[in-house]
Amino acid sequence: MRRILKIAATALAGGVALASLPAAAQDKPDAYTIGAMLQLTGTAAASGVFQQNGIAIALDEINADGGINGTPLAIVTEDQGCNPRIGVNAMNKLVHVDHVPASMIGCSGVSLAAAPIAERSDVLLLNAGAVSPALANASPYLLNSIPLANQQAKVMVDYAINTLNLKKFAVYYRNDDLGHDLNEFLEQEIPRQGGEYLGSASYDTTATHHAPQITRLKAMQPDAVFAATLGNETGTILKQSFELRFTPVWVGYSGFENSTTPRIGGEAAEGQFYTVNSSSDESGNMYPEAKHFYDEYQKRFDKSPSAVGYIALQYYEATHLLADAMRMVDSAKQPMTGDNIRKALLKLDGFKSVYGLTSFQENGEVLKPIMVKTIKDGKFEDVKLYTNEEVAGL
Amino acid sequence: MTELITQLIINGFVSGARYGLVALGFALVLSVSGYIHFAHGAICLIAGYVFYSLWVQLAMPWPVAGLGTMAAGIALALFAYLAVYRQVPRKSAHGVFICALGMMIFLENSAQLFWGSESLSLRAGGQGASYLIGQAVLTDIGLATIVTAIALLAVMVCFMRATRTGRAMRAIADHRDMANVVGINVQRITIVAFVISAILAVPAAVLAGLDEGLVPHLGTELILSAVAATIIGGIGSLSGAVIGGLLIGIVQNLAAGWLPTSWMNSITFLAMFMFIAFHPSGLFGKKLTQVEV
Repeated sequence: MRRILKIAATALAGGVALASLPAAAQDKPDAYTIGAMLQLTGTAAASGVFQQNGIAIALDEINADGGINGTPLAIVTEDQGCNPRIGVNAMNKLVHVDHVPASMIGCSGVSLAAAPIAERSDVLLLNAGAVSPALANASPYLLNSIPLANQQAKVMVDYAINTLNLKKFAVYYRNDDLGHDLNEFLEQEIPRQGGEYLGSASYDTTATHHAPQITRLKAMQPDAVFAATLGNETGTILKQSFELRFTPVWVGYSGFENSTTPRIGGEAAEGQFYTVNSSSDESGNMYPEAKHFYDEYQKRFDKSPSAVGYIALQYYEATHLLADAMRMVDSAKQPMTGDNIRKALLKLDGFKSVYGLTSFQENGEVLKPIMVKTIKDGKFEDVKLYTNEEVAGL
Repeated sequence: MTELITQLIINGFVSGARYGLVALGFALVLSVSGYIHFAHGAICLIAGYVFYSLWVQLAMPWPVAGLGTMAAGIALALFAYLAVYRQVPRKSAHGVFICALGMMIFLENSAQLFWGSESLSLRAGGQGASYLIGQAVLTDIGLATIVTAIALLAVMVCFMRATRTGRAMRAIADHRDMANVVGINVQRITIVAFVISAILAVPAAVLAGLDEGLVPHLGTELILSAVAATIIGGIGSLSGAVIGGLLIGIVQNLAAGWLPTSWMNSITFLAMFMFIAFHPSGLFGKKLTQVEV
């Protein structure tokens, strides 16, 4: 009897000891998992590999640095094909199967389609590549770590009118959410800045032959054509335009910066202008964090910064941003939810990123310096930097 | 206005000739075998990529690259017929169609895996010539496309009329069973049709690669227009396929001058549906009593 009582007392004591362990230690996962919905197939797939590689470099650095306060970070990658229908399937899988609290995303149509799902599922979406103006205020659960096309277009139009002295504009846009939204924005913005909006033409996202539209644009006789295009198409459009002897100044946004633009555009791409968030300071020196990234990319994937462009850097930064936010949430012993990660990201006011100082705004946009660049001898070259203050003042 | 219309018509002839080139091979296989050879678009695509690898990456002389491309195209076409289509019972119209569609998707995705998603071009901008017709511009590739389409059509018409194999193909297209009865080796002639369609894919692919660049979904774009051209021109008529292509090209481009350019593809299929509804035999096809697919 005494022996039975001894055993019972020992078991009870052990149970009390186990129950008194901190709740956080019991709830700590083996790894924190987030998602990455990338365009690995489809018409924008050319940028998918850069997204993946940028994320891979960041993930290795984060886990080498102890992950999320000692817990490894894992990333589940899903293909969204730059197609909203496929993107919704990818989003649902990340929510219901992988139970991620946050995910990186790209492509405007996909981001807009996934945003309502993210909102009702408490998943934070961080868009690092899509630039449609409609992405601002789309959802409190959608933050954009890339200047949206309206910010970039303001800068480009300002430079085209006030520096290049171009007055008459036409717009050639991709027949998707980004293209439509950007064309609508430019229809107001160009006259607002003192230019003349002559008209527009659009092309299907799968189109490879642009002669009819180029002919129509040519008939408008513009000084400049704003290309709301994606990188994989821009070079072909410039080339076909040149061959049809239509040679306005082509201006654009970050969609220009793709290795195919000078490679396929050739002579047609020389001297055209575009904007992109800048990884160089006002003196033209690359920020140390950006330089580190491009050196690492060259070492691992044997591609120069000019061939890599900005998209890999964007997703490298986005991965680090999410990790930083998750560390803040974990340190505060809060549940790792989409809402808590969102609040942490909004608190990262003026954080030092690969682009110098960056801040998220309440409407989901980000303020970053924007560089006007050109293509010279087949390479992307800096022309003029617009600081955060100058961009905000336009 | 005159300059605009002239340019749109010239563009129309160039686009139309491109559709006609692809439609020529597609229509030949359709009329001889009855198969809706959707994979022909993907074979054109792969031919373009193979030519790129041989001519640009390996710097082979273009005749050698061309022969290598033909060999690859022929291999794929024969695989499509012998290993895929022929395994499906002829009476199963849906089965053959689904197999053809499946092959196209498989080949397009394989192309993306092997050559990547980035656009590849056989020639960069600024390396070509262009000619003025009044104020309108005709590029060297555009001219080459028109000339090639007309030349290959002429060759095929002569082949179908003046050679034994060509006459056998016409007999099979006319009445397959009767052709069998009179001793025509239908199987062998069908194989020849697939081989010729693959050979015809090469100039279409090279010209597309020079002008538009190569992207994984190009095959779908090419074959959809080819199907529309074949239907409008009339199933069974090679001349009809090319003329159908030209018509589509001209209508598309003229419409682009005034309608939103996003309507261009819709116009192609609207024209095709109207022909199916009101004139299913097309412009030059035989009157249809039964559609065999």
